[in-house]
Amino acid sequence: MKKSRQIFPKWANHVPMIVGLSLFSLLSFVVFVFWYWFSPKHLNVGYQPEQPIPFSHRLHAGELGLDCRYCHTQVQKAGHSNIPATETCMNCHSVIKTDSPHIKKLHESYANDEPIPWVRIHSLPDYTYFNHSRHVNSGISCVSCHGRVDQMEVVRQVEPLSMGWCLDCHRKPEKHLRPVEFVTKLDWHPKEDQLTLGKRLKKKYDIQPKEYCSTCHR
Amino acid sequence: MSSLEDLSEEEKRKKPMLKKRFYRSQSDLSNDESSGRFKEREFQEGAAFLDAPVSRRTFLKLMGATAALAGASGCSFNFRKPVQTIYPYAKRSEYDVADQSLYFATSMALGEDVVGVLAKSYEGRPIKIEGNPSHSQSLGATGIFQQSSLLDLYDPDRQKNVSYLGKYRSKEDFSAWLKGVSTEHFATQGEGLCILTEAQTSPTFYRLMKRFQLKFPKAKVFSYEPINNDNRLRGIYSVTGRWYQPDYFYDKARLIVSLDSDFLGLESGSLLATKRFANGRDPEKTQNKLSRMYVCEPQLTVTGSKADHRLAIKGLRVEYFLYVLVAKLLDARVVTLPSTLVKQVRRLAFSYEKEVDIDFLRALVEDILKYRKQVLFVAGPRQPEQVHALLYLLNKQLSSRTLHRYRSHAYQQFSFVTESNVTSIRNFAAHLKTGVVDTFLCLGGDPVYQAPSDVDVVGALKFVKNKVHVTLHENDTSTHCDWVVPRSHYLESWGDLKASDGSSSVVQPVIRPLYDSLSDNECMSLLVSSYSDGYRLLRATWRQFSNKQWRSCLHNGVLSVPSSDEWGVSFSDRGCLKALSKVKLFKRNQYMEIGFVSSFLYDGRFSNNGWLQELPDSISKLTWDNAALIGVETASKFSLKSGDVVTLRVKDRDIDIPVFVLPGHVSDSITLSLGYGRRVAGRVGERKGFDVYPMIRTDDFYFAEKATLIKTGDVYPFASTQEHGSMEDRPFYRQANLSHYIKHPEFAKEMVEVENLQSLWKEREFTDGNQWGMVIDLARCTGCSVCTIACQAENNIPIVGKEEVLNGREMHWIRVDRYFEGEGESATAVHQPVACLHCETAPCEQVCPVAATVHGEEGTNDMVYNRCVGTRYCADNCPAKVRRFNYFDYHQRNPQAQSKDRVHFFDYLKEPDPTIQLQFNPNVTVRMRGVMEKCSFCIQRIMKGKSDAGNDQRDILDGEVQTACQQACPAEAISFGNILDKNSEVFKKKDLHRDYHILNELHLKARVSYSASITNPNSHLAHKKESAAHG
Amino acid sequence: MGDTSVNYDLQRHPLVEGGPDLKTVSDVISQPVEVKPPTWWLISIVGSISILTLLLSMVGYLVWEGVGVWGLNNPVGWGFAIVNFVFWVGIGHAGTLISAILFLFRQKWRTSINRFAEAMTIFAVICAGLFPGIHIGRVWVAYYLFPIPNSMWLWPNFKSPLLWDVFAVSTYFTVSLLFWFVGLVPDLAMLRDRSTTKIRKVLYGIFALGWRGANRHWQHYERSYLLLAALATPLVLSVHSIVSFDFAVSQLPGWHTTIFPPYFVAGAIFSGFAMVVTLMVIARELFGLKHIMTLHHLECMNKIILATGMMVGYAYAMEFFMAWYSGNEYEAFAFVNRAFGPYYWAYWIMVSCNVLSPQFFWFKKLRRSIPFMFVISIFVNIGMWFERFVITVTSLHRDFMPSSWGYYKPTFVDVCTFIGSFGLFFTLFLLFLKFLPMIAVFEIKGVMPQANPHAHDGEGHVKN
Repeated sequence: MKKSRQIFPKWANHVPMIVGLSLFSLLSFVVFVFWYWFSPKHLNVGYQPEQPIPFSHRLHAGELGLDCRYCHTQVQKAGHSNIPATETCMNCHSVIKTDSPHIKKLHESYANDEPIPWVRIHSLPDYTYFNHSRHVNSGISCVSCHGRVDQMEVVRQVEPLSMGWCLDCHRKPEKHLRPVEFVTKLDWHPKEDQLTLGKRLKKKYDIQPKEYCSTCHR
Repeated sequence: MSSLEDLSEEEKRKKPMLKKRFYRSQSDLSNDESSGRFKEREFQEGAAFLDAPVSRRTFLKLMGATAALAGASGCSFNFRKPVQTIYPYAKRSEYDVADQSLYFATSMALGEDVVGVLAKSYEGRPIKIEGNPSHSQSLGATGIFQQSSLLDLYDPDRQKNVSYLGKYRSKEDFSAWLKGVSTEHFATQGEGLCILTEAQTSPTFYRLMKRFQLKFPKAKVFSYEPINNDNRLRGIYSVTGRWYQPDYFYDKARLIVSLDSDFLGLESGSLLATKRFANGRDPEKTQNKLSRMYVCEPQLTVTGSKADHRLAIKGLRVEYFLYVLVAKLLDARVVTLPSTLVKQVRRLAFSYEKEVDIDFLRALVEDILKYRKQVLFVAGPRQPEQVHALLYLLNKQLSSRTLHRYRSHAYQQFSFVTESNVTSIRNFAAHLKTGVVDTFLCLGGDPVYQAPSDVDVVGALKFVKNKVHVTLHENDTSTHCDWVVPRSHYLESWGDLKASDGSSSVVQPVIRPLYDSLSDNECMSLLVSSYSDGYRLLRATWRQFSNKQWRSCLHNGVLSVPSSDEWGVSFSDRGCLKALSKVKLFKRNQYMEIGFVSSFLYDGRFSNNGWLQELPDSISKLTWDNAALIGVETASKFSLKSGDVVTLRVKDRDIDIPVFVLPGHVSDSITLSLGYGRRVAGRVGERKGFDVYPMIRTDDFYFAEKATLIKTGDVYPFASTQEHGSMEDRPFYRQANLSHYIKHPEFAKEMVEVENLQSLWKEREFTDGNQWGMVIDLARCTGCSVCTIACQAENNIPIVGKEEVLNGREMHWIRVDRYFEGEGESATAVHQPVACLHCETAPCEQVCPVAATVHGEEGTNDMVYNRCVGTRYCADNCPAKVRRFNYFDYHQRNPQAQSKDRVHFFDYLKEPDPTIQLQFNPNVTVRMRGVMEKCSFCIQRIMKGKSDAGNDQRDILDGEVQTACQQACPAEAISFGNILDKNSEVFKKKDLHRDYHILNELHLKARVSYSASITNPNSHLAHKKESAAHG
Repeated sequence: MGDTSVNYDLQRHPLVEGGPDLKTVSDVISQPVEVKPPTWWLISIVGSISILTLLLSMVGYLVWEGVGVWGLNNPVGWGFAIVNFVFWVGIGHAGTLISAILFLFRQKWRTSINRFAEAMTIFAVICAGLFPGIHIGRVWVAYYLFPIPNSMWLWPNFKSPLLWDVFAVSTYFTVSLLFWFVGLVPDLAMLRDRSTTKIRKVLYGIFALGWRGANRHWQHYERSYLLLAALATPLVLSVHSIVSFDFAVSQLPGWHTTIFPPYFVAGAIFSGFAMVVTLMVIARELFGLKHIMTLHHLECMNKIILATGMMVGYAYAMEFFMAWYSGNEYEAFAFVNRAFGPYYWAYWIMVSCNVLSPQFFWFKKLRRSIPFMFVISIFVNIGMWFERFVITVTSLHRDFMPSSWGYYKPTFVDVCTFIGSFGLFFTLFLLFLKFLPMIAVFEIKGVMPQANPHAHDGEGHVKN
């Protein structure tokens, strides 16, 4: 009689607790999925598309030691750091390595006045307005956001460029500040402790990073 | 969306236009990138869809390319990151700095009104129009027409290519044909050649016209503008024998008498007039020596609403009022007229004497005596010649030379300039009917739609073999012509214009012609010689300039200064006498009169312009419609409500049109506004409102009398943005008359007693940096509504359409509230622009659950679209109700939007037409549906100012950052800046006694405050009014 | 002592009439669960599911097209959605109140109705929860409302009443659900044991959580139930107070009122009880439970309806008084506008339904007349919906600046969504009637004389 009333095996006693716990962990897992795997940190860092012309920053910026501003001329003037015109390349490549097939592409573009379709690597959402000039002129180096481009054969994204990441620096700029004259020297390292230097420069340049929304969103 | 990378090799080869597409790219923010953003991103980038400038051919191909790429995008949808391509220049162009706008000086003509403007060009696309400070008619201000002309440029419904009998033809075909025409007519000296043009003020055009008339002496040229100043011009001519254009200095006058003139509203030269008038009404600028204005008009206008004393009087009686006035002045011996005139005037005056409002007249005469030599009389273009003639004589004697000037008309040697527009159009039709004409060239305009009903243009056109219409949009006339040629917009063509004060300004293109279009000058050049482009024609006119001078001319936009004025020398009473003797004695009657006025669509040429269609009329607040405006008395007499459709009949013509009851409108009178109800206009303007041209006849062109009005019983829905006209005794608009203001300078603040309010928690302090604030001076504001349009252009604000306005969902960030004062026909109105108040203790910020609206460090109330989830709680809690919610995606619902490919399920089915996207301001996010938006103090301009100042390590200067509304305002009623800076204009304004905050009692600590309006009524009259009101 | 008549007078009305034995009670209550569903049930479930489909299609249309499909406009940013939300939350009050508070006060008469009322609560709160979800402009980012860590480093604005809502309602729902479920366990076990087919056995078995009715079980049960009751009680008061904050914390004349929290709670109980009466009257007819859900119960509830109705009436009066007494012109206008403005009809419907109609319950006869109380309860529900409409819409449509006054007209989508929410409610409720015991069997048994160890005194009277 009593036996027949048992419809579940003994282990079933633990089922409710197990179900409860797994539900809870599932929920937290979902949150984690969104928080980590859907974050720019995970999605965008390391993005390294192939470019129409395999331009090597390592060679030009690194070994040849061209200044970033030789090509990205407007980075200090405009919010937008420009991609150089074919013209700029031609300054040298009208004579150098003219027989390389890639350089031929350049010549073509220059001759027919057709732009080269570079693939965009660092992109922000359209509702986010980032101003290069403001940062470069206040002693934030290219390296802080773009990494050691001078060591990259093919450029890739190294920072998440997420809002949290931006805020981190806006709250503690001293972690990245350096003398304005060195912003484009990617291999530059402070003689002293970065934080002390940063604090000093923060005062010197009167850096007050803004955290209110309209700084970037309009 | 995709990039070239995503297209396989042969696809690339199949689509050469893809390469072609980026030809002449000005931008390294690529096109298909931005359109890609349209697809994947929830917020579209404001602009950067197509690169500019583009020729028509490239443009059409671009369309193809876009489609192709869109197709390709489907497969290339990249979860991690959509591939985007950047197209830098191959060869850089001059002055190109990415995302830095350039300003080009050009100028816009509207009828005979010329206004110099600055076109803001972003990466080769004009995205905003501002006033040109160095142009005499603008002085930095713009009107609604200048602001919205931009939308016309990008209107996808424009005539895109030459067509012959509806079939596509190339521009070259047309040129060749026209060339042929001119050669074959050369033999006959232009026999059978006929041109009808809009009002032309371009020196180059007249240079070419002279050559044309020399080459074709037998050819006929006519000119027609339904809205014109003929009467004023001819009136003054009748007494001076010279074609004088008057120039009034309202700022210097102490007494302004306006007879049915809306010089602050839609009349030509209103920008300058508004600026001058506002200066004359500014208590600080004038040290409380305000001007006083008397206005006599049938329907309430913005001018009437600024008057100290307004007399509602039927339009046809205004002249009789003047006769009585003149008679009184003759009695008072302050004016003298030739005895011949005196006789006539007294004769007419006598017949009307009993009708005039005695108090009004007495006060007026008293003031005229008081302010002798400082009185300015102005009459509207609808008043007959003799009125203008008499006013010329009055102004001569009662005001000094500093108050008004006369400059002789630039082109008086051309018969078609000096003959009135009405005569011209009548003769035109008659001439065509004779059948001698075989080739007819129509430069702009739409005579079929705009001609008086007794001028049968359609019938006349039947007599002509070859009919050519050069036009911006296809319209009624083009449907009756066999050649239809796209006409260049002023922002895409070279030219020059002469303003009424004789100063010439340059018209220079800011973008390559979007379509295969011709400018008027280029057409003329085809006739007189062979084709030469606008620039060569222009330069030839101004040969005298060296290249260096020329460059500075282009920079300033001004070619020559105002011509010297003449103090009307000769005098003959003959013309005036003739006119006066024709005037019938006044007979008392109850006839219903109809008056015709211009509208926000001008004469209809802007009917396909969504911004203007949706701009609420200054007085009626109507959008997307015109109506038969009637007074309260008339309404009750015929037991009509707003929206009741009536049949108007005058003689043999009748139309069905709904009435709109408007306080301040004189009884037994109806006002009809032109420009609506077009049959052929485009997707936006077609069949909006009602066509009233059928009521116009050559013999009653401005007013029609003996109209009958029959109620049909139908009801028509009107989309008005303000249903409630009364202020409910709530002190939002505060004003006092001068004497009271002088006694109680703080009256505005005292009107609401606000005890010392305390907040529960510690309030945020705003003590350093730039603290932005705004003051709107109600003494200066006339309610012209240009602020609304300027804001719309600057901030990518969509139009919502009539249905949505009916639902109360208009999106304007700054609205102009209109409140009526008084009852019946004596009522008048006040205007108050209201945008976000940027409260320091903003109620909206408190309640947003996701912190999508928060306060910036500089005191701006920021709205973060990409954070907003759209609970609308902020709007509910906003006491000024300035927040606007995107109930739908209005950019997608725009009638001109086009369908697009979808990338993912929630992607849109439609997107704004690519040409319209060219206009978008790239520095302002285009909002999607479901988010709240509102005035941001033009945060993008503030940020631009900050970064410029920051980059060259200085503080922002006062006036460096201007909001769009402030920059456009012709009355300079809006001041904006740092309220902590003691020297800033805004600080001084906020420091005034008459400064006050609305809803202060809610402890909003708003950053926007108002300067109370100060009126200057005649003490006796004001007193009478009060006692009447109280007893 | 000894004088039986006195004793007789003191006697309470029996909570279960006709003195059935314990078995009959179980049988009667389990019967609907165990036999084939009657025709009326099938018909009504089909009906309510089709209405539910209407709701779903309307929601789909809304999400696809945008909030513009509703009649909202610039002054009136909140319409039917919020009205319905508050309305349903209000209804969702009676259940927990009856269960928890009456339980703590040892009101034995609750036993036969609490299960029923709790079920209603849960379903009502589900309906309520729907609306805040769909009324926002961008449903797909609704998760911004929850404090989830994210790469934007952003939290919701904890100052906003709407956020408080999110927490208040979800907490209330969770606790009510637990409370209800815990109460169900012994009965589920009973059904498990009674059930004849394997499948039923297993299903009920799963949810019975292995209840054996052992002494230990009962001890744990009693304790946990008591705790939950204690937990739920403050929630009953808090939820609607917080819902009222949505209005009270804003500064709109007509919303910004300190009287709102108590007034809303009273209103909620008012409407909740009305809804319970409506449903009970039907149920007891259909399932022949007249002797368990007795007239006595209904009368008790009607008394509460009368009481809360008068509280609400007092609140209405007091609002007007304060509007006048505060001397605030905007406030004064807002209330005059309620009664005599464009929405006067809504206001007077509200007053007549909420304040006047319950007054009839002063008369015992009417209090105990089934058809009459049914009608009144319907009226009260209508009235309470209009109360929310009046508060939300009439305050919004004419606030501070006359220039932006407007008028709100609901569209067919508004109306269909509202009707549809009833579809959701009744579908759930009918399922409940079919698959769960609508009365707490074991509790009923607990209040029956047999449960009393001293049930039988010398004279064979049954004491209570």
